[in-house]
Amino acid sequence: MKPLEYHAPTSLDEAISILKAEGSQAAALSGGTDLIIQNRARPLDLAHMVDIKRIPELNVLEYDAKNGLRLGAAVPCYKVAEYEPIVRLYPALAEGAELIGSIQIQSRATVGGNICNGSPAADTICALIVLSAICAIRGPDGNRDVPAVDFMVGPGETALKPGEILVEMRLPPPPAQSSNAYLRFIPRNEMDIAVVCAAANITMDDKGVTCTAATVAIGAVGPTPILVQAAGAVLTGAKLDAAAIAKAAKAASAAARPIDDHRGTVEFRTHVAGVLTRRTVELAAQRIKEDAK
Amino acid sequence: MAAHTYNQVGKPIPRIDNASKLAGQAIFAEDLQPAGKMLHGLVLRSPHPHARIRSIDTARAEALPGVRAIVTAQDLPDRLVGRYLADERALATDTVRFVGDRVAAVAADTREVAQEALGLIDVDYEQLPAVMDAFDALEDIAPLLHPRMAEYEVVAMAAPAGGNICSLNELSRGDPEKAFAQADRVFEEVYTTGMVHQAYLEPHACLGIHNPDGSFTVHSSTQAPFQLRGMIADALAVSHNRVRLVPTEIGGGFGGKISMQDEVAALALARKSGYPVRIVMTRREDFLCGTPRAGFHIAIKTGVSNDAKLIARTLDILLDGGAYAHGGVLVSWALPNFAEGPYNIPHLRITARCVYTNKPPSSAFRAPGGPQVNFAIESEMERIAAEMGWDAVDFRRNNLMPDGHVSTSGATMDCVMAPETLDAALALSGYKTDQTRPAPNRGRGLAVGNWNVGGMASAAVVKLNDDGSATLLTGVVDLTGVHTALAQIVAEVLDLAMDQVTVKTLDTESAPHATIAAGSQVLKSMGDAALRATEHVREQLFALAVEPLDAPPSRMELHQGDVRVKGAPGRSVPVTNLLGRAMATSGPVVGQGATGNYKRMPSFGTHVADVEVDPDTGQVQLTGYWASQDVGIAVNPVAVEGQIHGAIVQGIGMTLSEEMIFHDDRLANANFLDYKIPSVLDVPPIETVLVEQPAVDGPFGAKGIGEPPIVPVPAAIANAIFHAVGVRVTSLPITPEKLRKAIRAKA
Repeated sequence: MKPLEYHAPTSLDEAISILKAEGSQAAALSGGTDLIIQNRARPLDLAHMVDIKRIPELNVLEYDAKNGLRLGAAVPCYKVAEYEPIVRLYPALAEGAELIGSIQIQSRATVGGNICNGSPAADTICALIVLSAICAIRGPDGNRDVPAVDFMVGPGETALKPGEILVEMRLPPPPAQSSNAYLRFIPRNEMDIAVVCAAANITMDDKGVTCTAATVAIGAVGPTPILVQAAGAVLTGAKLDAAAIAKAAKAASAAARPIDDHRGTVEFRTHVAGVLTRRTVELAAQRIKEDAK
Repeated sequence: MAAHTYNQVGKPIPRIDNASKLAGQAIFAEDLQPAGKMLHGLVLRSPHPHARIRSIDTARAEALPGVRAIVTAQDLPDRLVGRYLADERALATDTVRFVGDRVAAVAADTREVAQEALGLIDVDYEQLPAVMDAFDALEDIAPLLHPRMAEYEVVAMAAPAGGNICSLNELSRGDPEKAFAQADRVFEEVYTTGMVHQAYLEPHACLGIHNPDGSFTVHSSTQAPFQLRGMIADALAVSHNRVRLVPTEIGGGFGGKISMQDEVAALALARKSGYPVRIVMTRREDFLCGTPRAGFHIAIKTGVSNDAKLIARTLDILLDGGAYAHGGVLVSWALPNFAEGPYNIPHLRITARCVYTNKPPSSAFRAPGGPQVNFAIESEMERIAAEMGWDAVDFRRNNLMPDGHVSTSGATMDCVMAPETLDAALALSGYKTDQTRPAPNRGRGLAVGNWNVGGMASAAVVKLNDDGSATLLTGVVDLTGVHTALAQIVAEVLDLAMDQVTVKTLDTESAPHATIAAGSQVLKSMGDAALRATEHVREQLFALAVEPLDAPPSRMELHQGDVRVKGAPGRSVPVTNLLGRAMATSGPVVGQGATGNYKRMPSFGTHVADVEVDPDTGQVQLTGYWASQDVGIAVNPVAVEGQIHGAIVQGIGMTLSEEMIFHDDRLANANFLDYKIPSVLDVPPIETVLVEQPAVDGPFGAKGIGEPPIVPVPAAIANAIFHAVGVRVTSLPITPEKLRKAIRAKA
């Protein structure tokens, strides 16, 4: 095993220059709750860890009604789960953040790290997708934006190119009469990895009867999280009743492309993707009703 | 509740080891750091479930700087060892039989160098067909995993039966076949259970030292110092006194720390390198090489009469013993003794077969075999009652074994508390047979469990210090807080305060022989030895007091540091004076006590579980749990309740989520991410009631309690699920996937 050099740059440019110079021997370290474990279990041939937690741009957490939410990539999950505008307006994201590991883990783990790890079972990615998050990336060649839905490109692989850093996620302000939810299925009650997960974001008309916009994403049922466009399509413009929701659930099951492994079979995961889709849509709709009161 | 008035016994006294553990001062094997240089050892383990070793080349590894020694079977005597059947080697010679089997070991200056060296050892394997299923092992065409089994020495209990059957054990009474023919109804079902790991907090660890005089010292995190010492000495072909086994603090065992692990490898490395060698298993190694609870296949057939009597039963039990005959053989031997359940069945036959497979050797785990068999028995009781239209509680009550019941083994059972625990659990939980489905998808289940505890011999020494305080010298380790109970016994007899009693665990060269810390037997076995040793001390004090008190010992009692004449408080003499007299005459006061192997004691418990099932996903949420347990007299009620809670949590794990999963002949979940023990959120509020009735032979009437409370857990939960959704999953664990499938099949 090689000795590891630890870097703790305080500026983005410094971090990017180290990552660029060291190439595949360097990795950006956020909370480390995935990276350090992986490097221990199956050495990744790393010689450099670049701790990005001291970079101010990665610690931004702010919301305003005009621009929406800015979430720095190094903000720990416990802050995300407790931040009042997130709890109120982006509950799906809070629900994902507060499910990651234990309270201790949530003090270290970050949403940025969660999605940079590239796992299709990541607990925050479905929420980011349905909330139309934009991932702001900075690299040696400057800035670029990638929609959350395109951020993961394969198991353990992301859109980040060598030397690039995820700086922040930008979530547009939610429209009126909208809400969202995230659920995951695990065989126990906490401290686990999703067998299947799903998020839904719903907007209703003023009367609260017809769905005017809907987005559904499912995770752990394919090499990358899946934006279920067919589910959004059947709900959009429909009266949000059991029949419509059942159609959306069916569409989610149809879109799932899971594998068989010791965590679940194809049949079970496909089925549960539908169950969770139904429940997240119902939960989001319920929240809209409660907000209207 | 039995009335008793003691000063220490029966009191909820905090564990005497709390402070050292809370302060982080307790020394575990991984903490050991001998003076001077110590090497880090690692073991090269088979990557194949079954293979022949053609050759081992260590040259490249030896050339690595920092490597101090490499050992293979060539560094050890040609010895087969085993607790029950001598069928394994400390390091493999020509055959490996499971992924994790020890092939070679390396000692190096650092763990990192040792790790690198493992990768440089070239082993040429010829892979052999693997047998991963107990039924496959029985096939005529199955490869024989131990072709020379007939030549193996039977050390104890094992009854090898040819093929891959390393033990076949059967007991019966009456004529079950004839009785089935006469029964009004006969029920048959098959239940299976998964292989589950003890999931203790501390992985196996040891430190081996080769002493200048050629003897060996080994520190190990073990439940069985004397048994393990014997096996190590046998493997090294030295007499037992040449191996000093020092038991360390133990971070959980649950039966998983009885077998030999890397101790001999560490000692061989120490001998070869000249330095102490410490080997600490990783969690992955511990999952691969631990000694889990055997998976069971249980065919159960029951004949009943129309008046709700159990007439006949046969149980045909197949145990997945894994690669070597560890405790699997013990379980196979014990099964016919306890698998009759808490019931009196006139015609009964229990057959247990333990078979070799290419999996980790299975062994003891908290009530080995108990919860598996009870899952079958108590699921059947509920199913039969439902199908016959009987009240399931009345059906049980109608058939519970009476006090004085003669078990299948011929032993008379004393203190049978089955009906009492049933009544106590009904009262505690408010269980009513017509209210087992309080709402859709909610259910309530009940199970009565039985277990036989104890059996092994111990000796102990109690010495009085010159101020009258006492030290108990024992060779048993403290897994459960039982040393606190032992201190309570010593304090009770000598009328001392708790802080005037020390319990000292000594190594195998210093302590008299002790039972293993398993089988719920320390309190009875070592407790009796400690009680007798303390009584021996008291006897000596009374003899010393005859002259100053001018009274016979029969009229004396100990009272707060004095020996006094009963009924005459004025006539007393301080113990310190007596000790002064002793020094001048007979010498220091040292008491010794011992107990031989003794009859196992039956223990009972009735548990009630409440569940809520999510029918869409098959997920089970426990919403309440009630347990009554037969404990004799609880020497330390808070410790007893702790054992009950812990057993229930482990029972929940094996019922709902825990299983060692083998894919492509490999363990797929050798970590705590995928081996799913319950978290605190998976455990419902637990209420307990201790059913106290002094046990005939227990010290102060105590019975062992560590194991029995896990026995009824799977069946109680399975019965609750049955009432919630009307389906029965007959294989453990009852995963969401299995339960959903069953719900769908019904719909």
